[in-house]
Amino acid sequence: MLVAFERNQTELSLEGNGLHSTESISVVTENSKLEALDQETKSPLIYFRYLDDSGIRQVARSNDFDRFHFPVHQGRGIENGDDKVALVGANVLDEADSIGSSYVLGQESYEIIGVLGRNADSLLSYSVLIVDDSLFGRFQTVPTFIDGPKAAQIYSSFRGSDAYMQQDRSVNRRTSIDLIYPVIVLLGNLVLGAGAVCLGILVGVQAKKPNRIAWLLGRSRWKSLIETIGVLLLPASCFWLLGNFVGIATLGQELAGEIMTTLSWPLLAAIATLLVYTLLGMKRSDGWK
Amino acid sequence: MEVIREAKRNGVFVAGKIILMFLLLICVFNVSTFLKSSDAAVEKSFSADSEVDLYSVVDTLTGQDEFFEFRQDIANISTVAEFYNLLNVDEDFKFLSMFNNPVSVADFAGGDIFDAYYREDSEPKGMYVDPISGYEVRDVKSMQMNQNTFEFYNLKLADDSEFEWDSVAYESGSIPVMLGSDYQSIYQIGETLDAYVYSKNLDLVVAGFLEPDSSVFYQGEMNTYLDDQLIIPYPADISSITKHNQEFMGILVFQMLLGDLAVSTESSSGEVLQRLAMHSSISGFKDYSLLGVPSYLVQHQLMKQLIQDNAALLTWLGIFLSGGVLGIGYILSRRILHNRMEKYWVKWVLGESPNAILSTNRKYVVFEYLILAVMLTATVRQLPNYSSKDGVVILVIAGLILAADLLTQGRYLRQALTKSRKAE
Repeated sequence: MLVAFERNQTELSLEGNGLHSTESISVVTENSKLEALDQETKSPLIYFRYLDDSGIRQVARSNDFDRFHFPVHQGRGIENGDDKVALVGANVLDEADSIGSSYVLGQESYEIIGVLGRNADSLLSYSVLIVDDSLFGRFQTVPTFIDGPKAAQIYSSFRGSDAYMQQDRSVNRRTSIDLIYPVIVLLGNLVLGAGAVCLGILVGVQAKKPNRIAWLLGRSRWKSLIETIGVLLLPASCFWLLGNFVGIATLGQELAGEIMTTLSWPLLAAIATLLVYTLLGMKRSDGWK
Repeated sequence: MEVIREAKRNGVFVAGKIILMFLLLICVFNVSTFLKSSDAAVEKSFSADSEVDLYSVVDTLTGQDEFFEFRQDIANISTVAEFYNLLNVDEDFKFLSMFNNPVSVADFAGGDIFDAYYREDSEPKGMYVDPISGYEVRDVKSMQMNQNTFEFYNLKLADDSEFEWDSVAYESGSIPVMLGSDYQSIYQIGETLDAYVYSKNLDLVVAGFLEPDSSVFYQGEMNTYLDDQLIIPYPADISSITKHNQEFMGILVFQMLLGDLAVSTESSSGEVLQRLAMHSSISGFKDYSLLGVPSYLVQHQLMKQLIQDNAALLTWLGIFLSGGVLGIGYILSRRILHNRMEKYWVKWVLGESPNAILSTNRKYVVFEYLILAVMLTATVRQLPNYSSKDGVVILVIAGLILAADLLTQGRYLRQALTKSRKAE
């Protein structure tokens, strides 16, 4: 649910701001400086340049396209290694066009890999996003929009940085979503964590008395510990597998990594809590024999 | 002693339960305030009243010489003024006159963000000495608009005061203006900006600041925010064009003519053209043209949808999170009660009445929720969009959860004690 929420929220945000996030900054800079920035930072960054004054046709370059997910309702998004490809809005596609056909710009044609927007009717229905490094390089004199997590912070600490501008013209600005969104995600994760800790303690409480009796009867600590963890691990692993299966089936294969991470860390937190709780309980009963 | 034993036995669970409930209620608070802000955004910029067709009015005197020649005759300028006056009061549509034209302000107190040339593709021009006035000025971003535009886009002053449109008279050399919310820390209400508009020296008196994130639809963009703009109001009508003000008014009337007609979606473009032809015939101004702006309604509907989708997404997340937390909270509550049961058995065996035992348990539970209430009261004030009413609502919700908790625990406890009586 949290993964779906974060992904949907990102898509809504990008759709309402011409594919740029609210962290985006703009700067007029040379290609060589952007290449130097790419080499200096390990953070994922994406660069956009508009091809004309319409504000709807852009060319993009990135050091890690896999980390940027654009709202696409048909076909796929941009992946690392893609070149000479395009994402276009539904109204840019001619009736005869489909995924795999070409978007022609001047002498060059680009394979259409996806249709922009969460639906065909969207704020992106006339937009075009092209991936072509050489085309990007030719538009050196127009402003470059640098986007990615903490883009402004990364760019300002870059040695070759120029004066940049950050202006939020997104739909998000109309509501308090940019303030609420991080709080909700944090709360969601805290609830997951708190739930996991509670689960670990509850299982620990259930096992405390039997473990102490087993200890008095001469059973090995290790056996008790493994058995206690097993009580949690067996159903939790089934839940983890089921959660991944349902999550991936509903949200798609491309989110598999994020779904697994979201489900894995609470499981580990529950195990760690149970382990600590059980070991502390065992330590207290050390002198009983 | 009993308190220490209770803390040892149940401390972790009670703390866990309070923290979880606290997180849940903060989450509910955030979601509800966000929903309120979404509703307000829809009400402000995407209400049914604003679902209209837009048509742009432009003049056709595009050549520099043609435009100059036209303005040399006061009678010509008066036809444009009359045409504007008729459009402005027409009740079949709203004439939204708006234009962004930089204004030079002497000794400007703000920084680069207000500079008219501070854009993605250009550097701020900064302060410079105006060759005509000799003053050090800065060209600042400015939007000029009429009252119809202000009202159509639901623009409001941050202090809820009314802007006095009737007091806008350019002849006096001093007019009230509004400033975008970014100006709040730079100028005060009542201060005067010494400005130059089309070479005319005007005193701009700050009458108020716009609400933050105020926006209009301008040049095809719905998200044109006005926070860094100087808003100059147009007069309700144009009169008294004389030889003395011919140069200034000649340019101003053409600027005022640039705007959009907001027309009901039930009216056809033919009807709009007919209406304009009528005003043209009365005023004598014929050099105009009408262009459709289909992007307005498209953006209007899609942005409204986007905001509503966002609200729906957050509501669902809130519901799922609440369900999860209430479930965990219930299990923890039962665990805590289970841990207290031994003590209650002893009291029961020693002859204490069930009501007295229930009362003891109630005290524990109420204490837990008191801690929760204190934590909530201290925290919600720091959250975005806080209002005292929302603070009270969240405490009422906490009270309802307490009531449900007491009810389920009471029933469980009474049943457990009754069962043990039967067993005896």
